Amino acid sequence: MTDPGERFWRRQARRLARRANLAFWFARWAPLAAAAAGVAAPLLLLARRSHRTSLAAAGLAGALLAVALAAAWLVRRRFLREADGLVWLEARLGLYSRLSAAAAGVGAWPDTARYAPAFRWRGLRAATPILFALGLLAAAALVPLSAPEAAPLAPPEAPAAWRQTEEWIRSLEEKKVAAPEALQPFSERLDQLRAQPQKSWYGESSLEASDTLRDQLRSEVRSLASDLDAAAGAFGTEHGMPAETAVDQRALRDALKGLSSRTLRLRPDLMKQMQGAAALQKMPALDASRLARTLREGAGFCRLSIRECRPGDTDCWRVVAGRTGNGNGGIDRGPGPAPLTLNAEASSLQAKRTEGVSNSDLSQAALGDVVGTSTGTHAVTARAGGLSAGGAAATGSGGEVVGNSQLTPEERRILARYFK
Amino acid sequence: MSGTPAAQSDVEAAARRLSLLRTALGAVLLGQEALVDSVLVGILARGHLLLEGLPGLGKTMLVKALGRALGLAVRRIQFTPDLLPGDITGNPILQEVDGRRAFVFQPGPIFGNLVLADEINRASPKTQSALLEAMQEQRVTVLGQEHALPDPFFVLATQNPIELEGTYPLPEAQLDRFLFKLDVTRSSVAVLERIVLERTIGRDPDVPAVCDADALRELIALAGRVFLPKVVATYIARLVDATHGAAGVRYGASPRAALALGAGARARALLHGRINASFEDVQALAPAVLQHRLGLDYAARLEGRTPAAVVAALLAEVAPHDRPLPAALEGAPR
Repeated sequence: MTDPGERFWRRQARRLARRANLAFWFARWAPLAAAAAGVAAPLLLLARRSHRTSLAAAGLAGALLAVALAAAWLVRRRFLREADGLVWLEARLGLYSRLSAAAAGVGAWPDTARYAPAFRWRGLRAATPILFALGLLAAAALVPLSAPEAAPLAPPEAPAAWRQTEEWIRSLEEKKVAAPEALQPFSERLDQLRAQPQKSWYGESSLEASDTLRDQLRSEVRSLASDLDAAAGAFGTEHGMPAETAVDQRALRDALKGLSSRTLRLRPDLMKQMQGAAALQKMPALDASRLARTLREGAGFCRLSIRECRPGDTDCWRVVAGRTGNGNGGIDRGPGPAPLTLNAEASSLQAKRTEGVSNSDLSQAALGDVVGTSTGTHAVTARAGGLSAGGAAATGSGGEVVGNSQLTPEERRILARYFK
Repeated sequence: MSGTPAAQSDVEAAARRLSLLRTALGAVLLGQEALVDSVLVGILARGHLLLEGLPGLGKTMLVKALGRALGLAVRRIQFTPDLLPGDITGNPILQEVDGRRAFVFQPGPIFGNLVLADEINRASPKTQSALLEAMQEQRVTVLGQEHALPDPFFVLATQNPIELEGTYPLPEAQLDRFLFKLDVTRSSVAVLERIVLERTIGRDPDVPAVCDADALRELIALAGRVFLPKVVATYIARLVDATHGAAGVRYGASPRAALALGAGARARALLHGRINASFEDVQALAPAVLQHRLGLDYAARLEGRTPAAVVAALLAEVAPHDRPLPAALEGAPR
């Protein structure tokens, strides 16, 4: 093929055939793609809501490709070849079949100057379905979506140390043993811990700080209770109802010194009474007895606040067990709540649908009931080295019993009867 | 196509000679250029022609002028109901030859290069059939003896579309022998004015002889060598095939019609100086080739449809291109 005219005309024919074939394919593909877009648009919206946009885009691209291949398959019989392009060119350009004759080797190829663009696209009409499809997809891809309504997340349960600390502070405030301003630093530090982001609540530093705060408060309360007991002991008990009671000033001063130096200070009026008593060698027995009882009650309240009862302090233990008032002849007299009745306070178990029960009678508890929760530390036995996967927990040293039956003779008989 | 394809130079030389012929005939048959072209195409395609038109439109003059321009022997036969086959083919006459009496064949008027069969539909079917053999076989048989007709041999028959009483319409088999059926239409006022000014009743206009029988044979041979592209042949086949089953058509065109279209397309291309036939040639000749070969059904005839209208509808329906273009592509303005 050395004739420039032949090259030119054949190239034009191929070009026309390509355009025609593309138009055929496009005309078939466009409505199919529009239909696919109509289906894909709502799916794309759903994918965006579920944050699977990339997956949806890949699926959409695959669907469009499949549709494109299907369209090409459907219109393949209508595709034009180079010879068809020559025919259309010679017909349109008025060449009286010269191109077909020249292609058959008869006569020369026409002058290339006779060529003129013979066909043009009616693009807008053909592209209407695609514009529609693109509009649908663009709307599905760009329309703003409200954030999906996530299931309301239950706030994480506060660390146990916080709950304990808060409970102790509230109890101390109710009992009014300590000065209110003395509890303020603990409350502020607890608030600071609460103000952390929730995801940091159980961080190592947060838990360490929480434990430190709790331990510090407990230590302060213990010390306060101890000092109050010591102070109460400074007022000697005289038998036979004497008029005056001697005051152990040294012990009282030591107690006052301890009370004054602590962070958790005693309430001021009680402190003042103690300071007044410390200045006396003797004081009226009735006043001394009342003050001593007040101080002991304060010490008891302190221990009760942190749930640490002294042995023999039945009142304290009763309160801690939640059995206040039983058997006192009131309207709630009796053996206490019926077994497995719900507790007055709801359990803070978040997503679980279980409730704590109000007593420890487990005779009628059903399987799965939560009979109680407790906070504590695991007793972990420190080992020199952990077991590796596949490792043996123990190695024999020779002469040991390898299989050790744990069954009772009765169980063995039952099993023997069953497998007989 | 016989032999090698026609060379461009040969075709151009033939076109020049044919142009002279067209000019000569056009000077005689005023305002009938299309008819003259069709007749020349028919002659170049070695076909017989059926001219249909009212009396006085120049049919006879066309044949006479054609004979003079081509240098051919022209014979005229006026067909009448009492015309016998022997009146056309010739009769054996008892004569004395070398002292003995013998039948000697006396050739009839059909023995000419160009035979004008005037008002052919007025002859009896028997006489018409005598013409059938001559047209197809280019010979006549009398008393069992064959007599070859001169070469070239053309029959240009005429028939009058009116005054059909007492006529014998040509049977389909005989119609199929005619390459073209050409309608001779009346002229416009301007042409009539020229006729009135330039013609005199009773005196035929002078027509120069442009070529002779040998040159005509060369032209006919050259027309046969004009290239017919395969796509054009395919178009002819699809067009002829579409006549079968077309609306209003009782029977369609025969394969002879396809041959006629191919030969006519080649001849028309030669007339226009082209070395190959084209779709345009086929479309231009399709009415002349097909309309007398289509049999319309009763309903179509009742509706007043004509074969020419059916052919026009077919041409609009059957696209030349086997594979259409998509709707998204349209012809650019030129």
